[in-house]
Amino acid sequence: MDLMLKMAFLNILRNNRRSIITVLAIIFGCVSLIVYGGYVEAMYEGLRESTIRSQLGHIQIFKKGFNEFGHVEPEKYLLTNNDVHRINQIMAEQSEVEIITRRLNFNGLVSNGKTSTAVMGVGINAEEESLLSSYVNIEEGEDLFPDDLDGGLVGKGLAESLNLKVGDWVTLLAATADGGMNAVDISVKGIITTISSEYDKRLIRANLPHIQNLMYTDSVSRMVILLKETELTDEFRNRLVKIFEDENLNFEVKTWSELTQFYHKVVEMFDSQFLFIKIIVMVIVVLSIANTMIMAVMERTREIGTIRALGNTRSEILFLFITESIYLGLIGGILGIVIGMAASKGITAAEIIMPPPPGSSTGFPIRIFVVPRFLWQSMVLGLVAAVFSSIYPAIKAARLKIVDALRFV
Amino acid sequence: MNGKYLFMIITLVSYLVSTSVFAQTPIPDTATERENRVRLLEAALDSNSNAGQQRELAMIYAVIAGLDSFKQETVNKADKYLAAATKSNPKDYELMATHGSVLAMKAAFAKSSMRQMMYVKKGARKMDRAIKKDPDNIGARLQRGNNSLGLPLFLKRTHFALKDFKHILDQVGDRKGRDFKAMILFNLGQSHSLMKQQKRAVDFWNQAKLLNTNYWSKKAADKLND
Repeated sequence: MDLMLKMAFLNILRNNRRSIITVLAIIFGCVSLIVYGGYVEAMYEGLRESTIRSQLGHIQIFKKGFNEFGHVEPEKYLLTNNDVHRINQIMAEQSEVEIITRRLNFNGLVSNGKTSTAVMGVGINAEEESLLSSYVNIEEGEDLFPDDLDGGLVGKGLAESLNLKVGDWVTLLAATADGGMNAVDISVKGIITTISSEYDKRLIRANLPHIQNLMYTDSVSRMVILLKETELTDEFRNRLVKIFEDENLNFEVKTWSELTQFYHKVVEMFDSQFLFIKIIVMVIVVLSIANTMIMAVMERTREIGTIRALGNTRSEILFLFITESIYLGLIGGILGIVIGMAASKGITAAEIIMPPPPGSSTGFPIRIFVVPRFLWQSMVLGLVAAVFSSIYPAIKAARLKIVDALRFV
Repeated sequence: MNGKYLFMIITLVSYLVSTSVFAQTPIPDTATERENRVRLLEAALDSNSNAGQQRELAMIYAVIAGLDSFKQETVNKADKYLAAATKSNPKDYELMATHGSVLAMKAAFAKSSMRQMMYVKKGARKMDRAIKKDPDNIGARLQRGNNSLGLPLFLKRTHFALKDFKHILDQVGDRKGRDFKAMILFNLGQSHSLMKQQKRAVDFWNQAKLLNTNYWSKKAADKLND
C-alpha cells in the first residue's frame, strides 16, 4: 500500500506538465467558487444591512392587529404614549439594543404650489433616526434636527419630480387619525437617498411632533429597534415576544426579514444562479481533468502493461490512478483556496465602485467575503471532481490486457 | 472602509494642526512638545480642573491621536477627553466638531463594517450639529470639511466639504494669511475634483498655486501637473 501511495505521488511529479494542467483546472474551479460565492455573500450582507439601516431596523413593534387592520382604522392601532413608555422601559434592560426610536407613518399628498404627488411619509425622531438610518445619504442640504420644527427631508426622486431644492417649502396633506383631513407646511432641509430609488420617489421624512400635529395625534405607528448585531435578531425577537406575553402586553413584533419581500426574492434568485454556476464550473473541471487523465492512460499504456506484468493486480492499477487524482485534487484544492482568498482580499482592497444596481439609487464598493463554508466546499468540489473524472480512465487502465498493453505503440 | 479609509483619516487629521489657526487653544508645533504639554495637563487633571484645561487637553490629544500616534488606545483616550470637555463646554462648537471627527476616526479600528458606519455616522452627526448651532464657526467648518473630504465617496459627504470650504473662503478671505487661503483653495479644488467637476477644480488649484506658498501651492501645482 505504502509503495502504491509513493508511486502515485512520484507519478504526478514525473508527469509534471499533465499534473500542472489538472491542478490549474481545479484551481480555476475553486477560485471561481470562492470569489463568486464571496461576492454573492457580501452582496446579501450589503442588501440586508442597507434595508435594515435605511428603512426597517432589525425589529419593529406594533400594536397587535396593526398590520392587518391598521390601514382601515389607523386610530385604533397606534401605540400610545403609555405603550411607548412601557416599551422603552423594557428595552432599557436589553443589552442587545443599540437604538430604539418611534415612527409615525402616513400616506398623503405633497404639493409645491403647482403640482401635487402622493407620498409615503414618516414622522421621525431626528436624533435617533439619523443613527438608525445610517444608510440614508444626504445628497444635498443638511441632516434634520429636532429644532427644525417644521423641517423635513425629501427623497431625491420626489425632489426631482416636484423640482424641489433645499430651502423650498411644500404643503403636506394627509388624513388625520380620526379620519379628517389636515395640511401643514414643510421646509425642505435636505434631499436624501435610500437603498431604493422607487422609495425615494415617494419619501418624505419630517420631525415627529410636526407630523403628529398634522395627524391630530400624540401616538406613533411603530417602534423601530436597531440591534448591535443582525445575527441577534431572531433570538431577540423570541425573547421580546415572550416578555410581551408574560406581561400581557398587546404588541406585535416583526423582524426585518418578515417585513421585506424584496430581499428574499433577490436571495432566491442569486442562490439559483449560484447553483447554476457551480454546476457549470464542475462540468468544466470534470471534463478537463477527465481529458487529461484519459491522455495519461493512453500515454502510459506500456507502463501499465509493465506494472501488470510485474504482478500487480487490476485493482492496484485502479487504486494507483485514483490515488494520483486524489493527490492532484488535494494540491489543486489547497492552492485554489489560497489563491481564492488572496483574490477576494485583493479585489476588496481595490475598493472598486460598482454602479447602482436596478431599483437602487446608490453605487457600492465591491466587497468579496472569504466565507469558510465556500472554502471547504470548493476543496471538496475539487477533490470530488478530480476523483470522479479519473474513474473512467482508471477503469480503462485497469482493464488493459497485459500483452496488448506491452505491444502498444 | 479599510486601509485606504484609515489612510484618509490620518490625512484629514493631519490638517488639525493647520486648523489650530482658529483654535482658542494653542496647539504645540511638534509631537514632543504636544506630549510634554499633555503630560503636564494630565498630571494636573482632577475634579478641580476647569473647562479651559479640559479643552486644551482634549484638543491637543485629538491632534496626538490623529497625527502622532494613530492607535486605537490613543483615539479612545482622545474620545474620552473630548467627551468630558464637551460636557464642560457645551457651547464650544469647535470642540464638538473635533469630538465628531475623533468619533469618525474610531471607525478605522472597528471590526465590522456596520460598526464602522455607526462611528462615522455618530461623528458626522456631531459635526453637523456643531455647524447647525454655529454656522460661522470656522474651526467646526474646517473639521467637517476635512473629515468629509477624507471619507469614502459612497458615503456622499463630499458636498459638505465643498459647502464648508466655500463658507470659510467667503468668511475669511485674505485675513488669515496666504498659507491658510491656499489650503482652503486647494481643498475646494479637491472637493470639486471628487465631485467630478474637473474644470472648477482646476480653477481653484490655479488660484492656490498663484498664492505661491510653500506647501499648499506646491500641492496644487502637483495636482495641476497630474
